[in-house]
Amino acid sequence: MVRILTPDELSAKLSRLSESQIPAIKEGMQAAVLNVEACARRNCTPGQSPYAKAPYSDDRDPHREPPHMRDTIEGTVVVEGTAVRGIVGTPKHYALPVHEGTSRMEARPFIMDAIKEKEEETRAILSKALEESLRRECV
Amino acid sequence: MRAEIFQAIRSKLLLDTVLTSYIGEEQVFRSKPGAIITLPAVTLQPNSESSVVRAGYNNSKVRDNNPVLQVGVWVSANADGFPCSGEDADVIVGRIDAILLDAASPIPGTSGWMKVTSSQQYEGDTGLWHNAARYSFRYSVIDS
Repeated sequence: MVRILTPDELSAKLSRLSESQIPAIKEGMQAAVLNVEACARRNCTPGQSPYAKAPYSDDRDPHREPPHMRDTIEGTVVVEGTAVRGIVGTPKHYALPVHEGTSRMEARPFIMDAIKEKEEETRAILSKALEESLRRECV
Repeated sequence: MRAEIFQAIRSKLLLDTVLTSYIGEEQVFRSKPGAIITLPAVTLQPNSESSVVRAGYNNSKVRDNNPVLQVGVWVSANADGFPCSGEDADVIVGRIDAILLDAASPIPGTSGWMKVTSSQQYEGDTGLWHNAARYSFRYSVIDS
């Protein structure tokens, strides 16, 4: 069935649409964040890391309190108004020098590389979530 | 990253008289942690790079590459004058932004420059300010 809307009705419907899609996009973002998080953890795993030396410390290193940085990488989703943000990070204080490098240590951007590697998959996950939600809304 | 693209980026930075007035001539290097370099300096480190074959690749042999370049700015807090602080390092990064993101005068063979991350650290033991900025861009290659 085709329904013809006035400009005001169309404007109202589109306005409602942008807000009604947020839960679906949030759900999609949660899946995308998990995907990036897994990749970032893999980047810190010896034998699977793309770097010559995986950022994974020796268990006997006195300067490294357990758990390993790899095991503290976590993602979260924040919704602010109509903006949905996915965040992947680690609370370890030495994560930034590892990620950005120092004068004596090469950068190993384990999170940035994960974001780039999963960029297409992130787009696909978010597109699918939005598409399915729009279909439910419009059909 | 292809050597000619890396060299084009380095040359573009070294040709900028404002940047070289901040850091000196020839002060842009490929990143080699542990190497002794005169400060201030700018280092370049290619990070990840993806490559996608373009539609019609069987005939054209064209691939589109999308690298991420990490640019490091190194400033000694022990220097007598500019640049010697975190703010000074920010000024240098600002100039690098202006050079690399200048759409009117792109680096030959590249396009779509975007700044993707930026951070600043202070190394207490060495007295170094270190800004790390990342940029993504595109270039195409034709396979033989």
